[in-house]
Amino acid sequence: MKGIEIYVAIAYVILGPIVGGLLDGLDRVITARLQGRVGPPLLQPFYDLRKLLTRRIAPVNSLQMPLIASHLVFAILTGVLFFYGSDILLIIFVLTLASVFLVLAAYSTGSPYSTIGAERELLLMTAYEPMIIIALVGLFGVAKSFDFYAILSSKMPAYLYLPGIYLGLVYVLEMKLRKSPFDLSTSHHAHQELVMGLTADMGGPALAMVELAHWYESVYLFALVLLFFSSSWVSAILGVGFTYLLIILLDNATARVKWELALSFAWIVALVAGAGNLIPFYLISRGSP
Amino acid sequence: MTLPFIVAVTPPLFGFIALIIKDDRVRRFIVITGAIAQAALAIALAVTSAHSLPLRLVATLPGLDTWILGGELAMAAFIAVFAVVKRRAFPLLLAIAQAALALVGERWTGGVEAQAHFVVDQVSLLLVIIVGVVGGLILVYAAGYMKTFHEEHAAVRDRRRLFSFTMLSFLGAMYGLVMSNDLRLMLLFWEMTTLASFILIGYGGDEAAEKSAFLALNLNVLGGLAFSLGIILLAARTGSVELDVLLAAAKGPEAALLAAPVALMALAGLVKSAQLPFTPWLLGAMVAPTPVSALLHSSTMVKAGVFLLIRLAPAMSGTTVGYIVSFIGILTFIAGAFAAVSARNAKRVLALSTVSNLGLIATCAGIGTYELVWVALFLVLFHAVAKALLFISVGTASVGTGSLDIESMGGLVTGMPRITLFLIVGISCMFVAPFGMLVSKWAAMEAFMNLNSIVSPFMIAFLAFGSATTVLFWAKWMGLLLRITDPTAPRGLLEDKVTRYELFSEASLTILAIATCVLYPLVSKYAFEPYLLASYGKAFGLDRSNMLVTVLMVGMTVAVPALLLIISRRSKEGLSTAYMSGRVTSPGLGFKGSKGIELKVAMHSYYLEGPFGEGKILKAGIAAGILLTLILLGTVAI
Repeated sequence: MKGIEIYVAIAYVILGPIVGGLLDGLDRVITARLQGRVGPPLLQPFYDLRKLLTRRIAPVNSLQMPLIASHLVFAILTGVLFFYGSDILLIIFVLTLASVFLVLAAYSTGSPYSTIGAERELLLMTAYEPMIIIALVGLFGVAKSFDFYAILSSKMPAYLYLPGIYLGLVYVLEMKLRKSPFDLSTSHHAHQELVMGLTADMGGPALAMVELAHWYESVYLFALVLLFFSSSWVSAILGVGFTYLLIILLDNATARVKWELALSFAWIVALVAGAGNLIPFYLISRGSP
Repeated sequence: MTLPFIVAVTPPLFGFIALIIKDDRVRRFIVITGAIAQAALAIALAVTSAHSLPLRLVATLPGLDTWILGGELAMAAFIAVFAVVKRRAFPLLLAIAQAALALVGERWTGGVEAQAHFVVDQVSLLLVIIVGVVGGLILVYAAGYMKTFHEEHAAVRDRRRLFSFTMLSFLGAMYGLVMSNDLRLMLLFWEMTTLASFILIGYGGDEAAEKSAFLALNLNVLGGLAFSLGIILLAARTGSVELDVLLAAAKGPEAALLAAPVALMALAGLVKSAQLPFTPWLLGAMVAPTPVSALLHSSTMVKAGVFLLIRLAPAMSGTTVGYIVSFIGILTFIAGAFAAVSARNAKRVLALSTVSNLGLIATCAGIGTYELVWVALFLVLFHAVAKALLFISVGTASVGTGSLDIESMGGLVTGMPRITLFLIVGISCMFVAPFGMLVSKWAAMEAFMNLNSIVSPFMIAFLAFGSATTVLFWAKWMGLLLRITDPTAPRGLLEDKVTRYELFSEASLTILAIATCVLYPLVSKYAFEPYLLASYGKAFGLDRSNMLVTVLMVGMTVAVPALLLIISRRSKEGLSTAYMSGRVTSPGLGFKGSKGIELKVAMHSYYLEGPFGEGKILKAGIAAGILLTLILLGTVAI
């Protein structure tokens, strides 16, 4: 049996949304500053969530709410498994399962806006998954383990061995975190194209669940980034902080791309920066056990 | 009379009875009885022999050589007659070549005495169970489906007696094949499956059916010729025609002598499992009625191909032949997955996905380490159950919607809720964690990482891209099924033509599909690990805690949505309408267009012809496949 890991996993279930919400709030503050606005208070995401939860439940059909709730359950489960120290490669596939539930919820509405959003989300999933798998395999190559804690405590400066993979991961995190230039399945702004696409037909508590799931997800996605910088406390804070700011900067500095570009560029990045880093690393490290 | 023998002859026996009975209802009773009886016997064989594996059996038939030769010549004559009647020159040439090779090969293989004609081990039993249970359920399904099929397709001549006979005999040939140790016998059964599939693919009788049937025949007889040549070479070089002797010798100093026979037999396996460049025969075979497709794709034919590759895995491991087979496999895996994105016909999507998954099995078998063979065995199991379920459910759905187009299945959850549930389970099993195929892919990635070979990172990269692409077409299909355009519409209106035979088979396979995902750690422990220990000296299973996680997750993935659905049914909240830019007029997604005219929403899914056009991907894949096959043949010549 595991010891401390269980407590971390439980703490994640309770504190995950707080950390995720704060990351979101900070993001909005920094974004506002970048754009020369005052911006909302740090706790604005929590106020938003509270308001959404007070609204009446008005699903479009009988499948929608169960599917969205399943999305939330499996998004949390993914994080629990992650912090419990299960195989991170398996966890990424569970993450896909969670996303599939959300996509199905959007499909089930039958609305054209939701449907296009769902299709684009599927395209994004196809776009980012190879790079994430390659990143995990790279981390395995460095630490010889798929256990979060084992990789963390190996104290290997993975970013030095896997610079291409790190950059590739940041690239696809923009997709996973629904940031520009890849916010084409749904964006934070209802007045933009597709009237929020994937979430067009989700309101009140339904949208709150999607938002909550997103906060949970962002916590372990940044924990994944942490694995690249686990050699010391200083590098961990600097590395994750830098990645966080970089993602916000890219979000603000780029314009939304078309799906063809999103897919083909993500795959090219996965091939060139990802596989192009993985293969030489693997061949070199093969000699030394 | 031993049990393995009884298992193998039971299906054809019932087949013969079905062949002479004219009355539809009596024949249906015979076929279903036969299907259930042979499935029960298959399970009985597995249960009774589990503790004494491997069983080694000697055929006591006097003049076995002559019987085999006679069988080969009879089949060649059969093909020749068909070729002459249909005025096709190439099959005639192949038949002559087959007969000539059988007669000439007699010089080397004729006098060889086998120590054991049949060997039954865990791998044989895996296939026996799949053939018996999955094949049996497809037969039950066919009993209902073919009745509806002939009512709907009046132009097709009713040859259901021949159909039942061939389907049942097909199972018998598969039993023989998977238990054979004497390669001459295996070849005999191999050719029987080729003939059976030829008859079944051509069942429709029209031009397309005939063309597809002959394509399948030509390629598979060609593969059979390679098999035959491989056996002759083996006999000439080692004086033996037994599989276990071959595998034992592959570890010894004679290994170099075996490369050519192994390459030729692997080629036969590649053809039968529809690997590139031989894929077109399987894609063409979808013109056949649905039960035939289900049988070809899940429990027979293509599984015979990968079965042979898995059998040869110890001999291929680490050799040039093995690497070429694995390259062909991974090429087929990725080409099949890419091509499926742009396919619109449901059966074609299923066929391309089969091709892709078989490619992964071939990849694992070609590398042939004990870990990858473990993965290959599980891929065979999971794929057989899920693909059979998908094919037969698609068949039922297409009767309801009147089309095989995936687009026409949009909103099937309203019209055919039960069939939709079956399809959802089948699709889940194909692409998403924690279900079988994805667990196998995950295990394949971990196995490649432990492999410590130059090919590992390349294979993992291919796996990553291929696996991500499967999400695209499976989830899209799933989403279409669950689309609810009008929540107030009455449910289940399209299900009135569904027979109870179909429902029985589909429900059984649905339960089996989930059961395999839950019980796979036991299969690993009691069947696959002992087998690997016996043939590789090492056992492999996924980490126990990981297996436990996947099993618990299967439970959650089934229970959570079901529970939530029940809870949300209880709460009587009002439904709102989908967002239509504020111009909704009716629940069925009507909206006010310009001038206030009511219009209905029309939607069309993406098929991404640009990046994933099926034609160009297959063309490139076939070209690369031909190149790799030529290299494979080159190793034989050297």
